[in-house]
Amino acid sequence: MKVRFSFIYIFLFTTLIFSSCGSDDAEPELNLNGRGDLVFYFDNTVGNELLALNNTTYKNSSGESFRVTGLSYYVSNFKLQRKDGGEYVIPQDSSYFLINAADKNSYEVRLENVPVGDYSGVSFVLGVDSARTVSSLEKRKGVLDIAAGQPGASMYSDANDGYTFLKLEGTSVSAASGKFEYQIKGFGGATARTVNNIKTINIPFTGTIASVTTTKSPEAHLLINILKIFDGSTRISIAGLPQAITPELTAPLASNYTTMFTLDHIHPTSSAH
Amino acid sequence: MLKTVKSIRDIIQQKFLVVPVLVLLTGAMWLMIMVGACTSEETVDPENKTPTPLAWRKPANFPDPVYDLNKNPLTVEGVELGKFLFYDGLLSRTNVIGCGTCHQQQSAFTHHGHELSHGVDDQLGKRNTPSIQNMAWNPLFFWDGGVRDMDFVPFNPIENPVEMGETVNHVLEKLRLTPDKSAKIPVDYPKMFKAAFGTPEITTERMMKAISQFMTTMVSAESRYDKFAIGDVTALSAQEKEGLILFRKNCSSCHEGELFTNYSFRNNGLAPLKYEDLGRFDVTRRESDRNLFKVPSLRNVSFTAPYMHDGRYKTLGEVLEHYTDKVVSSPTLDPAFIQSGGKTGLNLTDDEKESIIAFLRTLSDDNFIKNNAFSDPGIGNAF
Ligand code: HEC
Ligand code: HEC
Repeated sequence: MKVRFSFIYIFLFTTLIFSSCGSDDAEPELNLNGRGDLVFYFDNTVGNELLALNNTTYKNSSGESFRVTGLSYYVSNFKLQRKDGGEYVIPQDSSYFLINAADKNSYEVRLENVPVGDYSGVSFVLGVDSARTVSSLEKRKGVLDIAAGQPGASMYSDANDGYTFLKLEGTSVSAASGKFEYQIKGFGGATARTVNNIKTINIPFTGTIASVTTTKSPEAHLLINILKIFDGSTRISIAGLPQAITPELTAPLASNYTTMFTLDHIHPTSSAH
Repeated sequence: MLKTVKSIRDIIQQKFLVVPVLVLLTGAMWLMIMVGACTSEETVDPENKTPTPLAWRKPANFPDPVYDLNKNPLTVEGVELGKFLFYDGLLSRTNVIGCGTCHQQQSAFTHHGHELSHGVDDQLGKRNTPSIQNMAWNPLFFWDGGVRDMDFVPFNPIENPVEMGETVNHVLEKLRLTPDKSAKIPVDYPKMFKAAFGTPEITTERMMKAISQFMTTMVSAESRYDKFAIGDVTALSAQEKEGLILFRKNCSSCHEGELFTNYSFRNNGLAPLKYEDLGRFDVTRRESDRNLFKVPSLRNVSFTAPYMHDGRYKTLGEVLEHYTDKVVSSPTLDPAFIQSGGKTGLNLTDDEKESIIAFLRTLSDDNFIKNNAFSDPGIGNAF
């Protein structure tokens, strides 16, 4: 009770400060149209099963058994397609997310302050765009912090290779060392044109719709089938490619993984989850 | 803190200054009380004062710097913090190797006597430690130019397994846990971050910016050559002036201007060694960049031996001999080293080489390698 009371106090106080100092800043559009949230939930799967780290054995299309010890990837630069045509682009500074299979809280991507309306699809970048990859430190907050991530699990390589877009690590008897490791990266280079593995994922909400209202935040469930990393335009075997951590070597993996996202269903409100 | 106390005591020891100093101190205290009385509580606590801006002056004969000081304004406290971070072994996995272990002041912030860098557990790196001086003019960092912004430089040595072998993330955690009572000098980093940035939060951005602030102040522009450049014609001897003329003719297409580099990438004909370092090619993957390296500045070059990206030459005499006799032909060899008859290298007599070396020695800046402002505040390890 006491805690809540002081919280309200602080809230009132800050509102007061804000209203007295920055009254010009208010966005008129915000009040006119209303805004709400749209949530994406990233369910990592292997074929038809939900991904379980460490202890479950899976098979890829080359018939190799493997276990997954780590999976993380960036999704960024979200754009929402409006049903009536046109699109809404999420302000870039709030449009970078890192999904980490070891951290359930990271599965939910909440796009805030989305204008009320019906949305018929989404697109996002799998990874980090090149402009952000060469931007100054002030623009690298949160998941883009170059120090982010646990020791050994950081997603930033260095200025030259930029961020790892997707990291998949595991064990397999098919690899000579018993381990496999993929770090898909390659932002196209800062001073010279180098390999560009940045992929944009488009997901139409076929046969359904996400209706954002001021009170209802729809939640779209996406399935991410990591088997597609091995199997697309180029079939990759763990025996043939146990380790790929350079932009060049990971290019075929990046071409494959554009097909790994599908829409499962959309809940009209996120509370239903 | 330590430093100010010490310097005030130094001043007071000079007796004739005691009275004015006391007057000043009383005045300052009175002012603090007055200010405290008429503003909010915050200003009473001297630890809450805002960082003191540091005026940074570009040497008269230098071009404009490329580092954007607007996004990282220098302050006295920021530079001081940067200096402590620069020398502190906490930045390495073993808590021993600081930036200053490899970049030592008496050799113009290189690692004297080491061809290749020595990092944690005495592991060898693949390149020679370059000088840290005039970094604010450097558009690209490292021998291959792989980093384009000074704020991103520390990430590489910290996370390089054979240099500091740490993660930036863990360094931040260690800094947050200071002061460590058992340390040689128990530095209180949260307090220093607060002094430099207003609050005690220790973040990647603040840490990198503090180190950049310190490196930005590391300017070398007080050599005898500089005195000559800003108008003192007596600053150089006849032989040194002769050397300057020969230098401009033979060397300035790369070691250009007042910084003695145009920051381009070139192949100066070093014979390949067992381990092939591809240089700029690592960054651009362009065939034409194979074996190209950043043209180094030659300021303080008499302090920075051994020379070249792999430290293969021990003396300036050997370097000059390279340019006349040892330049090796290869598809990317710079045209400056290909003579009309197809012979490689530069044409210089022994006398001319000596004059050039005499001139190169005029680029030594004793103040730079002795200036206390850049020295280890007592926390570093040098070997
Ligand atoms: C183990 C020795 C070692 C340590 C420790 C070390 N450096 Fe270096 N430094 C080097 C070497 C070697 C290079 C050249 C690397 C290359 O070109 O690939 C270098 C290059 C640099 C450069 C680029 C200079 C130029 O002209 O491009 C800067 C700046 C620098 N270091 C700053 C630092 C800072 C700041 C730290 C501490 C966070 C640090 N160094 C720690 C060895 C070291
Ligand atoms: C075509 C460009 C070019 C010309 C001309 C040139 N240099 Fe260099 N110089 C370089 C490059 C590039 C390096 C670094 C090479 C490496 O380490 O791979 C270098 C390195 C050096 C070094 C070593 C510096 C250090 O800190 O390791 C010295 C000294 C030097 N040059 C002196 C000279 C002199 C003196 C001349 C004229 C006689 C000259 N250079 C002409 C490009 C040039």
